[in-house]
Amino acid sequence: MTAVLKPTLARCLWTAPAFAALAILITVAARSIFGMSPVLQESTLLTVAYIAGGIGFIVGIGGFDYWWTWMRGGELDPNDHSQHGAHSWGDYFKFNTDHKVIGIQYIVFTFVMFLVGGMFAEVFRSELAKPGQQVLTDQQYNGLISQHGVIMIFVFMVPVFAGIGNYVIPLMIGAADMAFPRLNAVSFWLLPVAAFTLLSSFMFGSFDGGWTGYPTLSEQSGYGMTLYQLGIQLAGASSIATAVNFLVTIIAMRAPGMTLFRMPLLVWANLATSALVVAATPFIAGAQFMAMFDREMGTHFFTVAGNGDTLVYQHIFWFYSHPAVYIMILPGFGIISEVIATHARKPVFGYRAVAFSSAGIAILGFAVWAHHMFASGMEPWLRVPIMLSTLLIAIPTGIKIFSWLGTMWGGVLRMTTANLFAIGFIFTFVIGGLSGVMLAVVPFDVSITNSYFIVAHFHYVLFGGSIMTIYAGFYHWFPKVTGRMYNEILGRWHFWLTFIFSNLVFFPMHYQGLLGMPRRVADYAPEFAWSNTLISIAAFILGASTLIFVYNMIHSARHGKTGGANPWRGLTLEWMLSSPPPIFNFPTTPRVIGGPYRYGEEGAKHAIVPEVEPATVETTV
Amino acid sequence: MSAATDHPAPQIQPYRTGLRPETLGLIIFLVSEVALFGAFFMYYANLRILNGIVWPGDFDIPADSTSINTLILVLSSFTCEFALLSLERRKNGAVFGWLFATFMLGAVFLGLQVHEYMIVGFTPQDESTGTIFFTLTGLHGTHVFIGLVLLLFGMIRALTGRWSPERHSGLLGISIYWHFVDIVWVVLFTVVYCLPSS
Amino acid sequence: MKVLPLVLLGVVVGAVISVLLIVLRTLPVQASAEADDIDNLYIFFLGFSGIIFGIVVLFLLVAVYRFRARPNDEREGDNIHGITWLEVVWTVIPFVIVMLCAIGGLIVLRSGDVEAQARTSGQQIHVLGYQFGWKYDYLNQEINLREQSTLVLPVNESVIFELTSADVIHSFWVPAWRMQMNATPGQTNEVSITPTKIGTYEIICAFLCGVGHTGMNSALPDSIIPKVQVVSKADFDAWVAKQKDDAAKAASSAAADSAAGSVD
Ligand code: HEA
Ligand code: HEA
Ligand code: CUA
Ligand SMILES: [Cu+2]
Repeated sequence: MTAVLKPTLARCLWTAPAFAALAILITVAARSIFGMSPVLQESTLLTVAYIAGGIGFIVGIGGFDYWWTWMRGGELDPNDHSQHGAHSWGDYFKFNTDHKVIGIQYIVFTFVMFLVGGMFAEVFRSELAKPGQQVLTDQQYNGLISQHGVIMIFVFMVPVFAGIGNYVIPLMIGAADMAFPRLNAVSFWLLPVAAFTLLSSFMFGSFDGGWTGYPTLSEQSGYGMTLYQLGIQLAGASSIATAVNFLVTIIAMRAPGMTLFRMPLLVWANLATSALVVAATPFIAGAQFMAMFDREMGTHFFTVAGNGDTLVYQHIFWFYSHPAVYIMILPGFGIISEVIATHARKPVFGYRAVAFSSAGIAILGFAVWAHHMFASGMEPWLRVPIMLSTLLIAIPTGIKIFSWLGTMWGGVLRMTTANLFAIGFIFTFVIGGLSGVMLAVVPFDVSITNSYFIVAHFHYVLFGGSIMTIYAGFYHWFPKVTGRMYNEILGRWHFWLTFIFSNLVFFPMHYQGLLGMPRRVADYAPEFAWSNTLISIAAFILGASTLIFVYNMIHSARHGKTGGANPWRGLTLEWMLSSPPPIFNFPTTPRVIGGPYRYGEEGAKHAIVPEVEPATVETTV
Repeated sequence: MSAATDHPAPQIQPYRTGLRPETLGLIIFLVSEVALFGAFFMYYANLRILNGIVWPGDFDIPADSTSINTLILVLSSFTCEFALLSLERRKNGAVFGWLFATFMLGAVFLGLQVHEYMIVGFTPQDESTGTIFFTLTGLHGTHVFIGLVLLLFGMIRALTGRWSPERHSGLLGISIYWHFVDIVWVVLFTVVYCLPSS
Repeated sequence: MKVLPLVLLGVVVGAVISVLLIVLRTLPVQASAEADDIDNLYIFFLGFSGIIFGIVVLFLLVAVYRFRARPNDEREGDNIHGITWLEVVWTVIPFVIVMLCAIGGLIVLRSGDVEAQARTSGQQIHVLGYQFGWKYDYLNQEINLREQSTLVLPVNESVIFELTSADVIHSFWVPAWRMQMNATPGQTNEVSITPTKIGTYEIICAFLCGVGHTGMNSALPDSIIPKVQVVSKADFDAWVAKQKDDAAKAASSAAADSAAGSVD
């Protein structure tokens, strides 16, 4: 009985519907008072129900309990840790303020979403396996690819890095937790709301405008499109909140002695990424607000009838979504730096250059958005500057690639699965990057834009790039998180299957695009028949290989060999703690005494964790 | 706290001093607010540069009465600052008073803004210019409203005596937010109301 | 550690990859004056991409082979934190390559623009995209084709397309011309091309435009979208004459109809 009053998922079961019902009542009342007709406008009511239901869910899970005390003027206890840390597996389903718990919640949830998004890919790949239309209608096909793109990007790729960062960053910088633990938890719990909003659009015909949702097509779609616009905003709000949290944590909570240039490169990468998120994400919120108002309130941002300008949507959308692709790769670059240095037993080659190149990519990333619009009929003078800035991005990225090669050169490479994924990442990412450079050149881009060449490019950077880094990170920190080792043999199988079959899936797509196969089509010319069959078969095997990974993780977390505190003999701070780390991380404040990658130096240390707490550090108010 | 913890919970506090984390976080958050307004200003600039602004139905927006409104909002920034000054002098009653004054000024501003909506002669559904006028001012109005709610909490906490010169990052946050809303309005007023429509 | 020979080897391996890629490149026929430039650009990309890829992969493989740890090998790597001159080199060389790309792109872009500006004659065609098809108006021939008619063009004569859309964004893509441009509602986008080969070519709508997007592709076996026809000048003139004739007939019969109607 009390379970429905305490902050639990059980409480959500009534708070979310209650909030939604209340909002509907208020709206109906307001509409009848102001004489709006029809009073029962279905789409408006659904929209307010979704928004209020989402808030109700966060209230139910306990996201506002603490702030409620603040609001009503109550006394707050900054040392109230009652919601901190997991003592049983049930705690992972609760509102928890421990960054390690939140990190795991993020990772598990987003990975499930990856499987769901991948499942969609498998479904539409089975449609594409043969010419002609067998499995899906056009409508369903468009809905599935859109869901695939949106789920992969907004509820898998962006947040999974937030999850890894959540777990690792406070440990790496020697902090007890994130700067705002409750905000952190709220950011996580927004994600299921966003995912529910997006996925439930299947009940309303889904959204079918691609992951980009351009008007004026989006004005024609059914109610599902509004849910796309809402869902993206929710996911965006979540990632902004996390980014603010990361920034403050990294700026203010580094352990004594951890200067900027003693920070591990993962922390640097997340610093740059979070700055991007904070400055760029509101633009997509803006674009979606506008498109949603057009649909739901009859405004004229993008309608032709009201002198709106559809091109502006594309500008604002890509002003976020280009930086977003770097949001989806920069933290991965950070992971690769950690993994390669640790497993090659060698300091990162050119630490500063690698650190600064993240910042360079982040800054340049704001100046290249219009390379997605070369064929859109935008202002012609914009083409050349955008082409130049886009090309320049290859340089900081190249610095990273070469520095990783330099790190491996002369090291003692431990070919663990984590390291295999890091090496495989370099191989595939370079292919994707090089095709990106080709696309940056305007005349070439307009000859093949919106074809499968683009699909090939971005799966090479997203699958061959980001996903590989994520797997590398999962394997690298698995012993830290669980205290047990994963099964190397299964890991190797997983790597080789993923590596071989992802190339088989995505490489032929370049040629399909060049030969004239447009993207987002459910059927194609007969000449593409055999290549599509090959791709689909490879895609099924690729999907199945994920199950090896899932099995390995679940099985090893319970039955794996124990790994000890530091199986990789890493030097960064997280390896100085037990595995899994204690609930409040460091028993005493660590002191950082050197760089994070002092491999090959006799007895070198990155930091020490003193036995006795030194006199408490004074904080100014 | 549970007994299962291996060592006592440290206070989760920054090692680096200077700005309090709440304040730093708020300032970073405001960057993203700037970006959100930026999206709408971008749309507005695009219209203005491409077509010049002609408000729907040749109506004009009432710049004069709105300049009075602008003054009201600017004034409220000062009253808000006075609340913080009073806190430093430990005058708790005055803190409440100034916050209340700020709240009232903000409320008057919102009221006048709604009044303007009723007399302006076009609606958000009239052409893209009408749309962007209402959404820009409406987005700002929403922020004023949120500011008012925050001020309300500030007043409640002043009444329950939770603010002290030593612990008032919440109040500081409210005031920073309020100043931000004010600055956005000044920019908005300049580019939307003051630049002559063509 | 001799690195320079390896770099050279990398270049060689890379060059082999480049040559392979270039030989194996499969592209649609070149049917426009612009296509050749663009294909050359692509060959240039394949050239340097193969070499960069070759070097990176060679170093990866050699590193894995030479520096892998043996079982129970607890050695540490060399404590090297960077070599400044090397880092400068690998910043400068990509910069040069990238600038070459930019220059190549600019040249192709510029020659297209210059041609477009110098153009005095040629066909000017207004293309209207709609769900789901195209409609063409020959502005300088005063021919307005019906929806879903065939686009017929004279060979070796430049064409300016003015694209717009009646509903949602479509994109007018003719892979054989290496040309694509969006048809966006509320605006007119211009693009020009000179067909150089007589024949029929696919027109593909490349932009997701709703449930009929898949079908807006003349390459599908049962497509109702007609392909483009590029014909000789004489054939084109004959076609134009016929269209005008048809239009005149249709107009007079319509006039007759309405005249008949008014008598009633
Ligand atoms: C993780 C995601 C990610 C990343 C990292 C990138 C990286 C890059 N992308 Fe990509 N891109 C996407 C995700 C990503 N992209 C997505 C999702 C789309 C499609 C969206 C849609 O329409 O649905 C897209 C589309 C896209 C387009 C638009 C195509 C079109 O629609 O017509 C362009 C055009 O310029 C482009 C360019 C680039 C470039 C230049 C890079 C560069 O950053 C790459 C830099 C890396 C390298 C170059 C390799 C390593 C460097 C070296 C080894 C040094 C030596 C190299 C040289 C000298 C060249 N991308
Ligand atoms: C992170 C990003 C990401 C990832 C990882 C992927 C992964 C894959 N993608 Fe996709 N893709 C996009 C992002 C991504 N994609 C985007 C943004 C678009 C553009 C959308 C648009 O046009 O708007 C796109 C579009 C896109 C297309 C083009 C559609 C079209 O234009 O018509 C294709 C075609 O083949 C494709 C295929 C695949 C395949 C085969 C995988 C495979 O890697 C998937 C592998 C499969 C799995 C990993 C799932 C395994 C699942 C199981 C084994 C069962 C699990 C059990 C349960 C669910 C309980 N994707
Ligand atoms: Cu028309 Cu796609
Ligand atoms: Cu981009």
